[in-house]
Amino acid sequence: MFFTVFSFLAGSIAVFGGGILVKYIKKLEGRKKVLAWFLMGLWYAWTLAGISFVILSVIEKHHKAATVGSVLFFFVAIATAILLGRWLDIIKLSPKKDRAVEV
Amino acid sequence: MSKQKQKDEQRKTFCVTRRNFLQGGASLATAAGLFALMNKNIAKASPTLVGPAASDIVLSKGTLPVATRPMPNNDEWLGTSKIVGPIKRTHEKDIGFYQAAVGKFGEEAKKGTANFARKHPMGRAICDMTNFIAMEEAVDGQPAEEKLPIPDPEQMSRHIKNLAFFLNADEVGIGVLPQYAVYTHQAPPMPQVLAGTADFSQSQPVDLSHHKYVIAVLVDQDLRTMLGSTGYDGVSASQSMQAYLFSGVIACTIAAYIRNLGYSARASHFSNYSLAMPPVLIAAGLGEMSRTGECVLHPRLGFRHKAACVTTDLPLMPDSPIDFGLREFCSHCMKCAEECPNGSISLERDQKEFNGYLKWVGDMKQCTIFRATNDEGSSCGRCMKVCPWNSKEDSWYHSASVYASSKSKMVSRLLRDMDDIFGYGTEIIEDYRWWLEFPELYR
Repeated sequence: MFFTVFSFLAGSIAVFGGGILVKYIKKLEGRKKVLAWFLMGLWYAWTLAGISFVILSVIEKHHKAATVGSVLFFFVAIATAILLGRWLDIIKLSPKKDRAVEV
Repeated sequence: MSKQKQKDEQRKTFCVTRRNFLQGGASLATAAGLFALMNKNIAKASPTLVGPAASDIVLSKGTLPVATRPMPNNDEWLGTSKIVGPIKRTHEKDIGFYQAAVGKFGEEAKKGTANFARKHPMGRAICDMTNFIAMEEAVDGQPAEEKLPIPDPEQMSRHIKNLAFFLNADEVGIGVLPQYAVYTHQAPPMPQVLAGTADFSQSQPVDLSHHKYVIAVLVDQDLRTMLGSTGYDGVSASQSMQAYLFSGVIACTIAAYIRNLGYSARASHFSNYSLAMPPVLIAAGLGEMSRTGECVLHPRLGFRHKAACVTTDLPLMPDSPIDFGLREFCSHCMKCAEECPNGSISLERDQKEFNGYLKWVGDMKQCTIFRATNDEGSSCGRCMKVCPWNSKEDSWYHSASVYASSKSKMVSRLLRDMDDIFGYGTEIIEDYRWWLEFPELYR
């Protein structure tokens, strides 16, 4: 059961995440491109470690470990995903509207 | 297109030239040759079934999560336990429960000793079963007159370990028997002591000087049961007793087998000890002495086990004692001492001398009294329950944590804190409480 769920989630993140990211990373050049792939690899490993930890803890009924693990792993994973997203310009801040011009 | 032409076309399509045929044949022959080479052991196995075992297979139950370093078994060290003076052999009556049984720890403890493992119906059932292997005929006997042919010591050791795993041991090790572990005398059977009919002056002297080696087996007390327990509720004594029972059965069977081969062998187990187990386990490479001062911690099972052993003159190749960083870990973890319900475990940072060697010296009297008189359950195993090495299932992150802890003091401190944050050890998992509780029987 663990391997089925884990493989599905790992594959989904790899396919969808990679598919979305590849076009953004392609725009980068040289060292920045390598760094971006490296950071993505780290993020992917961290997220999978978190998923695996939480699933195994739930299976083994370590409820406190599962709860603390979810918060710890996924808080860090989401925070770093936002930072990476900003760096790669995937997440754009909405442009400030100049009300005076609109008028 | 006529039918004849169509047939000709088909023949051309499936035509096999001589070159293709030879290539195919050569490929098949190569593949068959490789397969035969890879499986030569299968072909060889059947003729050696009679006579010395030749197989390299080891039927182990799991791999160790840490790298271990071999340590000496000599006059200065037994594994990571430092020997600082002559170690005196002891009389079996010096152990805690015998002291309690003769009334040295008070009347209540004396009364409790008679009943502490038997007050839960399941504990009583398992205790009764251990009586069947307590008899002298079960643990010892005359070896067969004629020695049967056996393989060299290395192969024989592997064979004996496989036998132990086959008999359902969780871990097994072979060591050079430290003679100071052997009791000077065996105490009279506990029922006689409790009934007040025992005569200690008639204690049987023990001599195992003709036995060079010891085979030690460990049986797990069951992780999930432990996770569901407080450590001192109704199932606690049953956990101990089941592991004592089955390790005893395994030891008696191995001893009988060795005697059938024509060599001398004596089993020692809960119901019939001839020696103290902790030094034997260390000598057999099954762990290091923990902060409890009594329990030897195995790198995979922690001290969630009970042990039995066989001393023998069978030629064997002994394992070395091991070091996996436990002494350093225990020196600053202290979780067992902090969680002990009766404060029996030392909170000192450094080890102290005890009977010629260094260890964390616990309060045996307090520990025995609590286990004998615990009115919330049957016996106590709280230290086992909370120890960060005991309370985990096999998983990559626990293996990684244990490995890192064994390598770095700083990491092990961090992991002790993480252990608390994640709730390991102190968490009681209700889903695993499968046994029946009878609180009215515990008082």
